[in-house]
Amino acid sequence: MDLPPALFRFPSGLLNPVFLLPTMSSSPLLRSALHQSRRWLSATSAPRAVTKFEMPAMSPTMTEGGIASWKKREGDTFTAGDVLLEIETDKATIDVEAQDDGIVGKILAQDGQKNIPVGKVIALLAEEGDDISNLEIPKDEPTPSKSAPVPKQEQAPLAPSSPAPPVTPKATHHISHSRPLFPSVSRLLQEYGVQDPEKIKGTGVRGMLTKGDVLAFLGKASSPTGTFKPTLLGPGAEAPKKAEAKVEKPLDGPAIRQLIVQSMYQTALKARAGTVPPILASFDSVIADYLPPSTTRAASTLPPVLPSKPKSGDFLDGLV
Amino acid sequence: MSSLARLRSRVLPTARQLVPFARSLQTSADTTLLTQSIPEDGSTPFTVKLHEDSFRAYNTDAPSLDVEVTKDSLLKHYQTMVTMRRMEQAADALYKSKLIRGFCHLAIGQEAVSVGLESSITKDDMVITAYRCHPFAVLRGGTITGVLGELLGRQVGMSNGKGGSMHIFTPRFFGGNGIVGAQVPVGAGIAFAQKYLERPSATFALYGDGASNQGQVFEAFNMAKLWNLPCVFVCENNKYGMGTSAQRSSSNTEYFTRGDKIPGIQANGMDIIASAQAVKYARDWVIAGNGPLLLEFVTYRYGGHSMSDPGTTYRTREEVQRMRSTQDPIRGLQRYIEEWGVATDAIDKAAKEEIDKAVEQAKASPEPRAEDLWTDIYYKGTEPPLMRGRERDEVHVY
Repeated sequence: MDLPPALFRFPSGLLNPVFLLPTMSSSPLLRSALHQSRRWLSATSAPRAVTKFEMPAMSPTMTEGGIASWKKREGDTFTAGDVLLEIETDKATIDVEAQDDGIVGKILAQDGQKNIPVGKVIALLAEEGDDISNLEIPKDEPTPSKSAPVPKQEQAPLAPSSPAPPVTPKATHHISHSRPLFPSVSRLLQEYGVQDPEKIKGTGVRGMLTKGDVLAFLGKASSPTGTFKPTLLGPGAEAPKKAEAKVEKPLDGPAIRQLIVQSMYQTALKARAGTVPPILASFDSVIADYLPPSTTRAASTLPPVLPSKPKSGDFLDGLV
Repeated sequence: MSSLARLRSRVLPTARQLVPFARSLQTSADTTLLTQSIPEDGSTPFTVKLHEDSFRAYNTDAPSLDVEVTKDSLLKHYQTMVTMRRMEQAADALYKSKLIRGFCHLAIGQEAVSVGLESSITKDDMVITAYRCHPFAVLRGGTITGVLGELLGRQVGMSNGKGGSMHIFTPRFFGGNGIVGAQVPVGAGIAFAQKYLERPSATFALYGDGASNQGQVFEAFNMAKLWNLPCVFVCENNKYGMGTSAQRSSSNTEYFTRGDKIPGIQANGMDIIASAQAVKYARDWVIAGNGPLLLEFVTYRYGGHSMSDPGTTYRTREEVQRMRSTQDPIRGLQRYIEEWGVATDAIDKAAKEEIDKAVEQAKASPEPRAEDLWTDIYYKGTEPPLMRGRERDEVHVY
């Protein structure tokens, strides 16, 4: 690239690379050259600090992560915005960008390492031009995130204070009670001009006054719950009682009659089913059906007529 | 040195004089040219010439490209921008170590907007913005420890640690607002109050490109124009509304033209000198009684929308890296400062130390006391007799 002739008019004795190069180059090599030139110009050359690179929380709920892969090796320069490494969380693998320019000094957690808690130092970063050969690995310090929950626990949550007596602002007279008052209750107290609501016994939640209490106090209702009678036992309580009654009851007249008729019927059924018709045919007569017809035996071996179906309706036959 | 800068632009004409896309300016932050030699004294003003694509105007004249600056002011800009970036990076690190919880919207890359705004306004002007507000909160009268403490939820925070990022206020800064676009009508109201009280001050109501399509923004525009309010509506167009790019969300991405009858200016929000010049122009415009003005800053955020957004699912990492390397406001200004032989490393280091100290201070502060649960709900002296707590039994008597 041709040097513009005006360069030689620059007061500084050396060829300043700042003006040689196109201004905003993104190459890290050129940028480090720029840094070098800047250092020449600077009066101070204070030693640069090594910064600890801790495991970042990529989401507010992340507590630990794994290193998927480092994109920069030890000694690599990076600029702000470059991806340093990929962190694997339980949800996704996320790129971590660098905030500033610098060099990777030492990598303390290698690729593939898992379950690194948030806040643990995973690398040491230095600024460009620093001596990175003798970086010490810092001792494990307690993570700052641990100290944050501790002061939170020390401050106990505000214990629920006892309810203050609410003063219901009324035009006529103030009604105050140690328990909060329902609007319906306070209206009743107002209307009937109850002077001392403390006298009324409260049957509501935590001793609150209910409308029924007030009405009972005033005599307008029989009791705080009125005619409503809550049953203590549910419907399940009735069934075992009846079963017990059934078992213990002695057999009375109708029960015995029931028993007799039942047994008779059962027997009758058995009798009906059990009536077997007598076998009236002999072996010869049955065989004669299948043998070739012969005239000699035809008359004597006539199969007897089987009785017709038994007479129906006479169920007492079997009993006799 | 000055001729060198001019030569450089002639050497690479096509790269620099790009015709900008209709929707945004893409000039980098270091294209300002020196028109005279830099004086030795830090407070002597000298003129620089901004790049011709630094501004675009709608229904009005663009601000002048010739800007008078002093070395001291540019150094201060540099130092402030570096400090703000360090603070946001510290917040990023604290969030990643789970000390900051909840919402955290960082403005890394957008420093030129906040620093440029603050440099051109007075302490009587009013500013209101949305939740990407940490630099504004510090610059408008807050402290870095206060902002970091608020994010950490400690008593040293500017709202006692009870509000968080979306609830930071100072007497001249109205937050820190969570509802998208809700701060624009509130800003118009603040301008109304200033006009009513006959105070010669400007109100800056900032919103983003994502909020620009909210209905109440246009309602505020109408009322501001109707009643000639001294309000500057500033659109911080960082090209992505959360994850939606501007051209996918808006039919008209030239946000400075959306004021209809309200004139507008578009400025390069990555160049601190251009931003400061645009804000100066806007402030002069509204204080002169010309009614409201729309000011669009074309800027970019390197991080995601918030800490739960990696920022790479809707744009490529190469795009982010390209913006970082070519259009970074801090790098752009750093180039000029180095031309004068000033050590920027010392400023960087001082900023880092300041932020580290502030972080330690904020971390050392205790969490709010249990009694503070009941304060700051009502203005002191106007509380009701009782306040019900989290459970029915928990009742606090004032």
